[in-house]
Amino acid sequence: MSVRTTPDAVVAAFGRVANAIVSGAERDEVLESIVSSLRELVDADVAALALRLPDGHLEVLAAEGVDAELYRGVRFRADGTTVDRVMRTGETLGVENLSAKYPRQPPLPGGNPGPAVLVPLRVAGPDGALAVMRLAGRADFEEQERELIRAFTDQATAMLEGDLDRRRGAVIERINDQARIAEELNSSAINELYNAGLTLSRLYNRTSDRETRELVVTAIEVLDHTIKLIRQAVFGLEL
Amino acid sequence: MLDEKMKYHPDAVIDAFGRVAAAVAAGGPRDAVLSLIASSVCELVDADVAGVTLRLDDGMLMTVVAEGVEAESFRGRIYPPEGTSTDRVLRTGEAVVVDNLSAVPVIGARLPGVALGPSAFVPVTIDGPYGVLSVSRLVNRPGFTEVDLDVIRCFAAQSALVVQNDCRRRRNVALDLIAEQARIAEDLHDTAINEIFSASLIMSGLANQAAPEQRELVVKAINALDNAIKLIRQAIFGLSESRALPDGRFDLYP
Repeated sequence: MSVRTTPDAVVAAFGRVANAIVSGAERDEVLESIVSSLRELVDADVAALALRLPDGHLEVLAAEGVDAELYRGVRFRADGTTVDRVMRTGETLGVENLSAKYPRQPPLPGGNPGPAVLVPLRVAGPDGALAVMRLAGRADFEEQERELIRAFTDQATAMLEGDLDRRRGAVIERINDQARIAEELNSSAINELYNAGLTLSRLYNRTSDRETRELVVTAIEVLDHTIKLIRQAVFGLEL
Repeated sequence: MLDEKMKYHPDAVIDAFGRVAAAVAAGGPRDAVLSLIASSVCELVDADVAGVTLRLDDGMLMTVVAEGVEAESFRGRIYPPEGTSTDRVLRTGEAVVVDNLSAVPVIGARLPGVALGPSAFVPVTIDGPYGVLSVSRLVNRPGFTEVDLDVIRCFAAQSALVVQNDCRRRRNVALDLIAEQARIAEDLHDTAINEIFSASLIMSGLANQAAPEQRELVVKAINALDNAIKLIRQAIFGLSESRALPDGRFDLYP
């Protein structure tokens, strides 16, 4: 196993990540903390996380390590890439030399990636992948390190699921807030209808014309029915 | 310090965290995942019993999960907070470590038959202390080391993640229900507007036939109806400006 993967380093990294997740920090900030803790823990040179955008492209939301600024924020077409394969199969993929798969790519300033582990991110919303790389020429990742990479990907998944639920909650809450205002306004509407009904009752008492009285009674009935409908809508929804 | 570290085998630590991380990500039932956390922490720090206690809306404490020796006597227990270490942790947000829990008068009196010794109560923190992960060894066993406490803290953080995600999910289910009711309300309002319209049409006819002094009353009633329609319309469509959202509260048992 790698010299750096000591039990207390694992404990410290998992504690840090979980605390970052529940601290209420911004999503991308937490993702950065996840990839940087992981990179350190498994002695990798680069760690990055990408999610699929609504248009199908992938965007690197977090990257740490060598040439991280070149990865961070990059949008790319998934088709045919190693990341795409990982997302489609849903299986963790270990690659001995990632650069060999992209012979036409120009060399990166900090050195090209060699051994890499890619893990699919399965979230209810957009899916994605987490990738951890060492520079070309370094030793491949060991099984224990792969296990840690999978576990950290799981933490990222838990974080993203929670974040999706939080955002969804905020949207529904706004809608419900509007509905509550509607409810308040509706009680004023009922008052207005009452007033109309009272006015009509007075009219009924003052007139002796049969036809007029019939019309007034019909109008009052319609009003009563309307009030009932609004009441039902506002209060009686456990129908 | 070195000796302490050697107690933990890297494989055991990675296995435990891998298992917990997978369960947390899978998002199974809250208490099932918390139970896994409790049993994992028990095994890893060589404790005899571990549990997660949360504060209920009425201020009582509830041990929602417990794993280990006599776990069934702790699991599901609801008790008043007064004098408990858990309450102290919830109030201060700081971990409490006790050498011999059975010697603490209040606790000892409450748990006949289970002689717990060294115990650690670590806050499960979401937005401030929200619950407590408590881990104990039986009486006369050695106390927890700093490294043990680090492990327990780390699992407490995982518990917090579980509880937070679960609260958000439950809250969304409740919010969805309210939204569904609002949608039904909206449908009904459309019907209501139609009804009012037909009332005002009838009354317009009436206004044409009525004597002048009655006519005034009818017009007044028609105006009231128009006003009612306007109010309902406003209520349903004119709500584009939303108000500030209240802070998301984590309802334990909605």
